[in-house]
Amino acid sequence: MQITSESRVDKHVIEPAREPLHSRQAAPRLPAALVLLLPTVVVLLLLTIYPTIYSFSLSLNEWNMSNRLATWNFVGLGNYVAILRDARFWNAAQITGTFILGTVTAQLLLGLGIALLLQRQVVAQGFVRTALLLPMMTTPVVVGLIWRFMYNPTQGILNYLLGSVGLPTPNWLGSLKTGLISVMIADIWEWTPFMILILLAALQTLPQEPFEAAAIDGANAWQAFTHITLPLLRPTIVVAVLLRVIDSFKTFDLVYVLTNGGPGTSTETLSFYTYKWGFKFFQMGYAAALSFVMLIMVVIFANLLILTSTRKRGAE
Amino acid sequence: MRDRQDVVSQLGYRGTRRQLLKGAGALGLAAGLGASRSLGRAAAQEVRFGKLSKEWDGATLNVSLVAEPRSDAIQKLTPAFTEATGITVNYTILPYPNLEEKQLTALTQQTGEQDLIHVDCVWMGQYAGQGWLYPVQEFVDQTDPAVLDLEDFMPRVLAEQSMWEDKLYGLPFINAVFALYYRTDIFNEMGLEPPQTWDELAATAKTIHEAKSADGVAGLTLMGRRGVQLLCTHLNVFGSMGGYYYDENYKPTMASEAGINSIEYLKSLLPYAVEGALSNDYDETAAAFQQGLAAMNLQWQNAAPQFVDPDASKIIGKWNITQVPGVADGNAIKRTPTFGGWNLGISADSQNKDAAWEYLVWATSKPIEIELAPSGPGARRSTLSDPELQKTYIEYSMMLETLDSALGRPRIPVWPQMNDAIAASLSEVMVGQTDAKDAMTALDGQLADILQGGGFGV
Repeated sequence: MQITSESRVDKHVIEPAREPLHSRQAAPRLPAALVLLLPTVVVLLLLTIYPTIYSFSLSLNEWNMSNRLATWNFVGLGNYVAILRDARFWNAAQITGTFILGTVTAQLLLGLGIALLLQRQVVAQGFVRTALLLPMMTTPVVVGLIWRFMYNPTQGILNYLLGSVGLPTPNWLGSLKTGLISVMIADIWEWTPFMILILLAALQTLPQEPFEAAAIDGANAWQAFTHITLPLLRPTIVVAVLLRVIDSFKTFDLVYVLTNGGPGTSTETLSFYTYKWGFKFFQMGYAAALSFVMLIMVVIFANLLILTSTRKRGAE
Repeated sequence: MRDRQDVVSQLGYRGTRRQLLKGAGALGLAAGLGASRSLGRAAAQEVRFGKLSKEWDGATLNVSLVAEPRSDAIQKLTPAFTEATGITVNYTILPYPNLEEKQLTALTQQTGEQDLIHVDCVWMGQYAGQGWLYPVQEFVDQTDPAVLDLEDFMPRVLAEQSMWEDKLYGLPFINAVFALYYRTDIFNEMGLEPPQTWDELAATAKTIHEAKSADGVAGLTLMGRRGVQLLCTHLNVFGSMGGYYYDENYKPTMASEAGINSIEYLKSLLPYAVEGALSNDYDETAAAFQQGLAAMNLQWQNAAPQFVDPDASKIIGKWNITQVPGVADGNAIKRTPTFGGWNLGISADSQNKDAAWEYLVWATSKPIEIELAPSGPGARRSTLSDPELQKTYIEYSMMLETLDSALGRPRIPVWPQMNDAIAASLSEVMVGQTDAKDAMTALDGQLADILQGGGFGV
């Protein structure tokens, strides 16, 4: 969120105008401000802070929910130590990393390319944008089911089309080579429109002056793109990538429907693995610890991304 | 063999038989009730259940069932029950992958929100062993024996689906055992006999595949997708080779000769299997056989109704069903078809246990079993051996032959975790991610951790 507020050029214009209003009313209205803040604080406490503390303390315990007589049994950092020694956790972490890298990169490149094309579009804009929204609005489980039908090696349309032009017809979801890629393709299909829409919106708000100046200086289209469009888009790209990475990190539905983590363990993502511990094995303590490890990984990654992007901005 | 005996005694099979005999008498001593209570009731000998009386008029039951044809069928028959008893029945029918998590999250609240719950036989350790199900012996003693007729249930089905540590926790509802389906037209045309051993199965699949795959008919189809179906398919082979998941001391034995050979054997069938067998689950496998894409199908017998479905099946009158192959043992053949099925039990927190039992007695009674037959077989010997039904449901005689020799999966509380680890490793071998010996050795390590974590074989 910091990035967006920084990137808003007009922010500086609004701020000074507000200041007199603010300083005039702030002092006598303090209790009122507290009262107005209270609902938000209460809601946050109930919906975010309390569950977080609860699940963190759960992660320090062993609790088998499927046992009627089981109680919380404090194990300290035992669950976390076990996770570090858990080969299937590391396997899932690696798969999740590959998944994020592959899907987000493809979504960014495709999204940017298509957004640049759509920027020039003059007819049927509304229709195209609505159509683009459709994959995003479809429930991931439904997306998974549709792709599962299409991927079916004997009755699916993909292999029918490939076979009719004489290309090889792989067993998309059943083979080690294509299992993860197949899940990634479905994810890319679903979420590229998200990138397109965000980047298109940003492209349309870019100021025209730098481009006009560059054109006068004799810059060609490619130079204008790399030296003006991309730097101006960077804050938007960082936010879009961040949102997609966080979302990808949690990918569950597609894996659940398409491959159930298989073949072997080749598509077992972290959230799928966590789900197994929570709702198949009912070891809630271990599942909570897994969730916290994921949370820590996301927070570290997000901060690294923000840090590198702001440092680059500073260097310019 | 030792493993097998261990499993059988662990299931309380022998105990069951004894208990049933006692249950048929007036006293419910074997149920672990206090002797005085039992005697008191024996004196009264009041029959409250099985009469479809109005005793519980106005009660409402919530029933949680797995999404299988039989569950939909019982729902359709329920208005007659409601009319006779005044008991309203609400159903929540959920697909297998979501059922357990929904049930257990509701049960954990201990509010009695669910009165009757459908329990996969391999969850009995979790549900009955950990206190979520209510032992029903006290109700059995008050039920009209002519209606309930416990002796009529196949003893092994009753023991494995509905009993835990010698106590009865419900009645069987949905019943399944592995079988080999084959296409009679193709077998006749090629002069083949149904395979009796695994070697014969592989040879037959190869012969047919070589002759027919150009016409779009593969040698066989099987459920190769990572999951419980792959595990159940594998157990047919594994068990008959003399293997089991662990020995009598709960030491994992997947890296045994039987463990390695059995999964390598399944993998060796893949060249003769339908394209995509590795991503096929129950539905895809049944569909492939139903559409005539394979000459043999290794699957649960309860897929059979799909192959006689006039709207969808392309193989009506062209198939038969037989016992799963086994391993030659002298002149005999050792077969261990995998066993499955569902218990319908009463939740320990139910506020309507009496009405729930009345429903349960009705839903598993002989007339209802006959009405439910089109959606899948029941567990009563009388219906399975009914000559009229056997004409329509050709799988019944095979079931009578195999149900009592079938091999069940472990039912200990940590089984779901073991199930997941085993299925993942079997899948790894099937797709060639790992060599069988390495995968099974690594799996033994994982299973030992899980078993020890659950307090077994420390």
